[in-house]
Amino acid sequence: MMTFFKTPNINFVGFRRKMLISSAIIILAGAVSILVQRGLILSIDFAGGALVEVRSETPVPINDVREMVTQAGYQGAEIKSFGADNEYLIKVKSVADAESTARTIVAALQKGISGQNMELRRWETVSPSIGSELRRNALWAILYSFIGILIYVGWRFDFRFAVASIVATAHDVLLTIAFFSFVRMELSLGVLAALLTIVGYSLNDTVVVFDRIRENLGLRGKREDFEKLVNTSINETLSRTVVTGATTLLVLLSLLFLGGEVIKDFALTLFVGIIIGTYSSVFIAAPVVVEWNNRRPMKRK
Amino acid sequence: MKTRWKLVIIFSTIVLSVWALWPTYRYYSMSADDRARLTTEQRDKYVESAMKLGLDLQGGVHIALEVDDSKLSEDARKDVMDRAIKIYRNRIDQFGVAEPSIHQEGSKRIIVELPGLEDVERAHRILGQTAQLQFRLVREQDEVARAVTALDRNLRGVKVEGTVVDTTAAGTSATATATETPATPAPTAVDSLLPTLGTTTPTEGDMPLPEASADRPFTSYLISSFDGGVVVDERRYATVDALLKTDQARRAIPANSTFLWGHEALPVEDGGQGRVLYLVEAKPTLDGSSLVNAQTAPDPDNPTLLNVGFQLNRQGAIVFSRFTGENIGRRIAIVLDDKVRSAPVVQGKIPGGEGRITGIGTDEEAGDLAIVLRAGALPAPVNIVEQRTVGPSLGRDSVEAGTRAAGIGFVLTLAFMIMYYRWSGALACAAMLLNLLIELAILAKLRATLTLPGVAGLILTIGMSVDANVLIFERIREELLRGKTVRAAIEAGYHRAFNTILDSNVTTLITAVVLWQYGTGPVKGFATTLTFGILVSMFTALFCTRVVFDIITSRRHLQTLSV
Repeated sequence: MMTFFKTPNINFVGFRRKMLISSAIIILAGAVSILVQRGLILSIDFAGGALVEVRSETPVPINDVREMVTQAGYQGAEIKSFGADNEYLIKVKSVADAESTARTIVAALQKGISGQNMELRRWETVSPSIGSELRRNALWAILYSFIGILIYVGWRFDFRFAVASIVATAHDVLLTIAFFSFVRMELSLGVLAALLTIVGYSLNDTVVVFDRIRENLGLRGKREDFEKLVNTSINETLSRTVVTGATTLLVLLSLLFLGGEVIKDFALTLFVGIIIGTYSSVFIAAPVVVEWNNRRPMKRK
Repeated sequence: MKTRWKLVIIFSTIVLSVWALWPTYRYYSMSADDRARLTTEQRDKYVESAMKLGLDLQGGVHIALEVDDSKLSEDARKDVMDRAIKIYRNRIDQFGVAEPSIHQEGSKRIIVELPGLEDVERAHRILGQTAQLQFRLVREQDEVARAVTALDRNLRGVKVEGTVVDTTAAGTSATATATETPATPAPTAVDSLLPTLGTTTPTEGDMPLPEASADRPFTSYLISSFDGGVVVDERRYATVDALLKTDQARRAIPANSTFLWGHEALPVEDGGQGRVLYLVEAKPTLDGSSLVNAQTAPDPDNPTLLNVGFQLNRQGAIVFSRFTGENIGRRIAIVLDDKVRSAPVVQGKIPGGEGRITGIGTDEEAGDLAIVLRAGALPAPVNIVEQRTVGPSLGRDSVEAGTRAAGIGFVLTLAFMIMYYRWSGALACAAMLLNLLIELAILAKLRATLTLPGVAGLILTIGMSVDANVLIFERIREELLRGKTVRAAIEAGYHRAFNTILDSNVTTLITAVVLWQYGTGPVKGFATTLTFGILVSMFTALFCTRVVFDIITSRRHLQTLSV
């Protein structure tokens, strides 16, 4: 039988303070980073604007592409090689008339660059009004799922567990957002979907640990010290936490490297978020319950 | 339940799933030539039963339009969306795109998806035009002169974005404008410039950019005038348009008249470009609701251009005949979406109720205009708020990349699970494959559209759906370590893991459902596959794997379990 841990007995709860503090520091650093950079980088999905993806037969100097876009009247456009080295992505953000911007660029590109035909692969325009609506919807989605979880976990477990699972999940979202800011990743619709998936995954992971705590409380809650009981429960579920995390990460690695350029950011966000989500169910969720219980002990049934 | 019946359930699920997916497999494994050879009937059958691919996977245009109902009455607002969607259906049917999708989203938005189409210009012409056709009498020269003089008077000191008024040099500026452009006739000039439009070749940069003078804030932007309107320097189009929208300008124009722009810039005599501004009757004499047919025709005067001819119904023809009879020698503006297409002089009474829109550049453009005219005008103007177009090559690449990622992801998971849980790990992976099969079958039967984020959701399911089995196997291992027999350990493992699986899956389901409810387009596709993935995994991981364990333990008395 292969195991990562033979009857593990790691004192997770013991160094909960250190972990809570380091998480808080990273989140704070993320907040500072966001302030310094004046907010996160928003994709055209949220900021509004135009995006054009083209492909040439053989690579052309990216400066030629830039020259062409500048001549079309968009000096501020973001231009980069995308995926293969003969594919280019041109983005113009926060323009009032995204439609005509995209049309001007497409018309200019279709004349060809350095004597080569440019194949139009993708072309998107989003008006700023749509972007602000999406932002609002995303916030509501997170809020509503939190309320749903609060009710369900509060009903199946205990109010403290419900609050702790929300704390852990909020922690994951905040850490992931801090990560976006550190690596200057662009926040797009796909990234947002990934963020909401992380919410789901992290809760799932947390509930598994809580479930074991609940079970152990029923079995030997009266005899055993709460802190010790929580720690045992984390250790007992550790194998599962690691195995499920590993299979999910394996699949995400495959998606990250083979899934294509369009969903790369989505896969990367999930990859980082699932690592954070796994960490939080061990080091954040259960320890929050312990801290709470130390201050105001739960009534033992 | 007897094991035999459980096996029957599993096998019939597999057979049903394969049956549901068969048309999808056949259709997408067909070569392009074979597909082209299908009869319409066969194709319809496939289209109906095969899984639909999203635009991001097969290429096409996705457009979100917002209906601007701000100018409608309370009553008209009620069914404006239904009417707009009906007219879009009509237009797109005539346009001829296979499997278009038109639906309402929210209270004011319409989503149109046109698979396989790449020409966004055409999509714009078909969807973006209101196609409101009107006939308006053009005002005569003296009325134009009066309005222009009144505008000059009222607009003194009025500033809009783009006006450059140098008040310190007001006097000199006025004389300078007059001397630099001596061709600028006084507003009362009689010369009709219209016939010369379009005949001269533009020589860019020859004309100085007109600046506003303090005492002639309006006429200083004009190049010339004619019987029915004035010509504005194209470079000042936006400025003059803004000026005309001010309250001061509105008061200068008589209530029964209104200014309308020509639909495109035209080259003018001195070089450069001019935009015609017509003064027309405020109330249209006739509108497009009496139009019954429209079709393209060659332009008799210019072989490189096309016309769109149209016919009015009987009622419209009578009104049109009387109208033209009463106004011989005057101009009638043919107005499309508040832009004047042309303003011909009425030569005589037109009895047949036929007319035409002239001077259209391309075949496609003329054809598209005929389509939108035939389908009728939208009840309110629309704005394109979102447009996403994917070329077919990118879609193909995405399908390939997604399939490859799913394949490698599966192999990696399988290797890991076998290494960790031996035969049980392989069983979990078999359950996961079954999960994918059932999920795809459900999506095909529900006629859901598979999008790229949907594929990502499916791939994620591969990794996440083994979780239930992982929970069970870990429990079985624990029970075995405690010294239970194989059969008792399996029994306890499934039993005790059930609560955990239920609770953890319900929490994930809550977030997936919220995601589905609040997400648009791509997010929704992802949430759909994620939700089904979780639900189906309850069946495959709990029910199906259990049957296999039961069979193994009932046949032989096992001492050890490969877990």
